[in-house]
Amino acid sequence: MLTIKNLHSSIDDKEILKGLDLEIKAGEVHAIMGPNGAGKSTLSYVLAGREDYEVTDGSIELDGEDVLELDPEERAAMGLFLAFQYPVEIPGVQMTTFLKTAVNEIRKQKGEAELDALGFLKLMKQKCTELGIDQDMMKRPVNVGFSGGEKKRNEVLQMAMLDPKMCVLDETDSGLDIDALKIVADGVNKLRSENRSFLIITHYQRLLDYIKPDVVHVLANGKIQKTGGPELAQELEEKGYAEFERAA
Amino acid sequence: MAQADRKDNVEPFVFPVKSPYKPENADIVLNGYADFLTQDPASSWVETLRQQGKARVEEFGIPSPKLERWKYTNLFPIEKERFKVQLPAILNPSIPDKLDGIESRLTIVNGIFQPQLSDMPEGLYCGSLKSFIESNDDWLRPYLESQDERVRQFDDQMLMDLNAAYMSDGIVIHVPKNVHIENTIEILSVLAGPVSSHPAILIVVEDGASLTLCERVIGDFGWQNRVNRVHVGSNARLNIFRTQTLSDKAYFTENTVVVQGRDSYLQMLTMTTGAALSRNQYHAFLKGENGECHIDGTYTITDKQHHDTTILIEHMEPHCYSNQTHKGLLAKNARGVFQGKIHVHQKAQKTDGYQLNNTILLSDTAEMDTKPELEIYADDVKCSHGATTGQLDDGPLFYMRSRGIPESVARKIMMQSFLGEVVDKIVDENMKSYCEQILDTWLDNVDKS
Repeated sequence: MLTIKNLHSSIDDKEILKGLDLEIKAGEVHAIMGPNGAGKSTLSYVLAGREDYEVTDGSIELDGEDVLELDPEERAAMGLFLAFQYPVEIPGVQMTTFLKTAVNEIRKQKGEAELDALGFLKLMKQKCTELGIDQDMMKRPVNVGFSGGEKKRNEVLQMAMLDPKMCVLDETDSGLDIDALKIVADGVNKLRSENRSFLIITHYQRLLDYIKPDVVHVLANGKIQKTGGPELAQELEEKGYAEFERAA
Repeated sequence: MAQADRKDNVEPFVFPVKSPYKPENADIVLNGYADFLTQDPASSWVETLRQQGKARVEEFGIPSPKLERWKYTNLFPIEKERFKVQLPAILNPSIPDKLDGIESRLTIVNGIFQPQLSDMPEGLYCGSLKSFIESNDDWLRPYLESQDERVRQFDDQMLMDLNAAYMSDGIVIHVPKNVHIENTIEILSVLAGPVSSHPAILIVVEDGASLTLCERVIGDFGWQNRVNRVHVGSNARLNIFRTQTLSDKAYFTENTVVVQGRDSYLQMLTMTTGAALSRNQYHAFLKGENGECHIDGTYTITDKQHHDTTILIEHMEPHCYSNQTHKGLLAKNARGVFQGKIHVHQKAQKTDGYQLNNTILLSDTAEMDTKPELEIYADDVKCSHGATTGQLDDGPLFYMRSRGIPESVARKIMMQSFLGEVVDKIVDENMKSYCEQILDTWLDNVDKS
């Protein structure tokens, strides 16, 4: 599904990613763990196509297609989705308007017919019910005045609505209390399927108690330092990242 | 002693005083004035008003950027055009259909009332200013004659004087006491041909009455320099929604004087997308307790367009509320000016005044000059003002694009939501959708060019 080879990326001429390799197969859930400053958020922004991040070397392919040449909206239409660490507030734009535009713009790019108001509302209602999200949230401006938990749940709802094949979750667990974390994890688990892959970027092992990964990677100093099974996460929780930071 | 001697010998230095006035440019705007008088002789009291106005224009010229309140707006482009007043026979320019839901419309072309293009409303007095003057209506006279002293205190009111010098026609709308006009009335103001026009619009809503007006200012050429006089009586309500969509070869300047009584409500909202140069100047007097005054606007301009909003709201009695919300988008080399002031008189305790000006610059070469001011002499008031000038925020843009929304669509959504705060204040649904259409077209074109 997702193949990253020798990825180098820098911001303001400072190199953050220094040759990152990653291969995620369809239906797999991978977790990337790492200390602060390892390049976790940089990886998620580079995947989504933020312009401030310059890719100096390497490649990213999604189902064999080169992603780096594409605009963020084209990547989204291909089925790449980033759940933001800090979801952005858009004052004055109602959630419903925002989601309807997003859903239909993606359908348009894929050459599918746009949903009419009724069809959209039906889909939204269904997804809200599935994820246990109060529909009143849809009448508010995007993320404005949302609590931390609401913002993250909103990211999961958008994921469900846009039906991507490759989901990247950037520190979705940060700052959540245990109840909110369970709701978010529950939402993600419902979306797991054999055609959909996940890349879960996190600082803490806690989230992985609720979303069981197939593969765990340790990212430090801009490179994958170690790859293992779920037990690696447990090991990291106990030993910390010191070993990897030294190694690099 | 020696020191004292030296002092005596030195003449005190005097800074040379340069006059901010340019009386020499009076000739330009009074060009053809004699012809105007022969073509359109007026009754004695109108004649007096004309002479007074003309005398002041001759003395002070028209405003130059050396005057404090004209620092950011130079009328030179208008001077250069050398427009003349022409009193035509009947003009029949092509005009748009009435807005949806509107039954009555009053049309002026180059400032002259056009009965054949108008459908008169019922239940109130209205019509051409000229006909009201000719019928020698004593009711009208004080409204036109009384130059409020506080308006006159400004030494830069030459455009009002110029308007008086050419006093001839315009529109009068008079809603009698306790009459509620249910249907919105439209005013259509058309500029046709490269001439100047100086109409006066008088709107009087008597005590306990109510009215909603929509106005469109359209046209390709010329300069309209108008004066609006708005009187809202005790417990009366008036809503005015306006769009100015002139071509970028036309010019528009106006002075609006508002007088509000006790418990009155006024909302005046103006959307500007047109004119090479426009200035909307407001001076509102809250003369009774518990008056409420909203003066709002949007300006979305591009190329070399220039738009200026200058507002002074005077709180003269306690418990009044005023609100100014002005938002704009400036593209290419456009230039915007906002000068908003709330003046709270000593007597006006418990004043609640609010003022906001936000501008988004869509290019590196656009310019915004914003000057929010408060002048407060009472000690128990709530006043706030805010002004921001910036660019479209990258964060929300990227967020929307990452959800599959193309950049151009995302930009449009952000600009719409930015202006939405003002547009949502339009309570007349038909006018609101008309305004949304205008903005929609503007936003579609601005990113393309």
